[in-house]
Amino acid sequence: MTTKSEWRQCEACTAIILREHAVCPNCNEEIDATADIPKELTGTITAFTTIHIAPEKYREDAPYTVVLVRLDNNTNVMGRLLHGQSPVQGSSVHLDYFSAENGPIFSV
Amino acid sequence: MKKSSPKLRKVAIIGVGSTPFGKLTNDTIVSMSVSACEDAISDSNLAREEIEAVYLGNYVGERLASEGVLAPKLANRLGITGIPTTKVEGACASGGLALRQAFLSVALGLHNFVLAVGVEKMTTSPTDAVTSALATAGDTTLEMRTGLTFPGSFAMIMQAHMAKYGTTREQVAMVSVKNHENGINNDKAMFRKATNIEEVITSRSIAEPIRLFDCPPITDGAAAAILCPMDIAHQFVQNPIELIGSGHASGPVSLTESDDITSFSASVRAANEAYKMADLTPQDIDVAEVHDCFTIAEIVAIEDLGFFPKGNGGPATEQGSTGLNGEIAVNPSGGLLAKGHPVGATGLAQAYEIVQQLRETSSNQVDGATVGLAHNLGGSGAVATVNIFKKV
Repeated sequence: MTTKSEWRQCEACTAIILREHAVCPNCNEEIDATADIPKELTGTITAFTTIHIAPEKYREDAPYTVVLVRLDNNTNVMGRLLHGQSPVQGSSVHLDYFSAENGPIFSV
Repeated sequence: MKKSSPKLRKVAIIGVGSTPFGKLTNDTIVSMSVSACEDAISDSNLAREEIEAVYLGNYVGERLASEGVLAPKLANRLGITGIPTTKVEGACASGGLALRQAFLSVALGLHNFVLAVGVEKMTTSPTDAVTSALATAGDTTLEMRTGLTFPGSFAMIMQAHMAKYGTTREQVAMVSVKNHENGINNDKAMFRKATNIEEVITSRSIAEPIRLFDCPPITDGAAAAILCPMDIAHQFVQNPIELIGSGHASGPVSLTESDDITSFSASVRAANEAYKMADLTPQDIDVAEVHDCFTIAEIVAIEDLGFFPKGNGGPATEQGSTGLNGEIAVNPSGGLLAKGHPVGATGLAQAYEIVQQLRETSSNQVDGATVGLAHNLGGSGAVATVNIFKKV
């Protein structure tokens, strides 16, 4: 599993956040401790889209599906769905891996 | 320290101007700004040397038109160099912000005559350059890295709105049909051709469920307004329009920071501030120009602004409640979808249309319109302005 170094977990509320956040965007607390993101992350799809017209950088990937996931700790994270899988509103997903290029990649 | 509310002067708009919206091949970003301002100055009967400050809204002029310090450049071309000039940026709400800052400077008594202008030059750039410039409004690390696009963000909002409220694909497409219909009569509009539900939902797929006809075109254009204190407005024009309420708020920059992506908290906050200042309710609004950067954005806007309860935006649109003769006329200009969306100019183009409505000179005149509202949104909800106008 590749972990992008700017991703961290807020120890106060367990939200997945970025190093550049001065205050946790989820719990609004000043961040005094962070942990590496856990290997096991599960949640449900709350919104999704399949991108047909992609930015130049990702053109060869299209069409691909981006999902907004509500993690089990009640925080949100945006990621891609594994290529070839179909998104369903409310369906359970788990983190497959962290991609340096694209961030979290989820799988149903 | 306790915050005291400053005493605000009443503010009037005495002149407005706008270029046509479209592919303005022979115009530069500066020449378009000058043209819209000359229109507004002439409309106001104000001598240009009376102008005391300029607020210019622009989003991607440095990237797409390679022009910085646009506000002093505009002042130079207008022959008013020396006065304070400021460029403001709030993505697609840059124009609304310019109007808001102009309003504040007159209301707070800093200046008597202020020019607000918005401009964007987009059609000379390749589409990839335009979309990547616009995408800078998204949160790069939290969401755009996934390959999400700006239409993709609104596609998620559309998908979530349909899942949560049962909004249908046809109801969303009706926004495009209505706004294209309104664009036909507007001689400033880029698109002056009708469409239909079938054409919208079978047009090219951009980011499912968003199709090409759910999106605004890439457009050039500029619009401007001249503001002054209400108590001297009649010295210049017979029909000044009062800006009776103004609101401005920020919101989440990423969809991940919102627990309900079917509503923009910045729109709700800005609207509440404007309604409170104007001492009005949503039901008092006769005509509105709202930020339909995608079809679904209009449905979200008419709910966030309180015109319809949450979830009723789709059915209301389908039933014609937002048509020219409906309960509240929404986007009589054709909106961003038909009029075009030169992003930095949009907020002032909305004000331009509302002023025409309250002067009873719009090409799609809403009968008996006395109170109008303009709602301008930046990013996927990072910035919103709401301005309310009243016939005097």
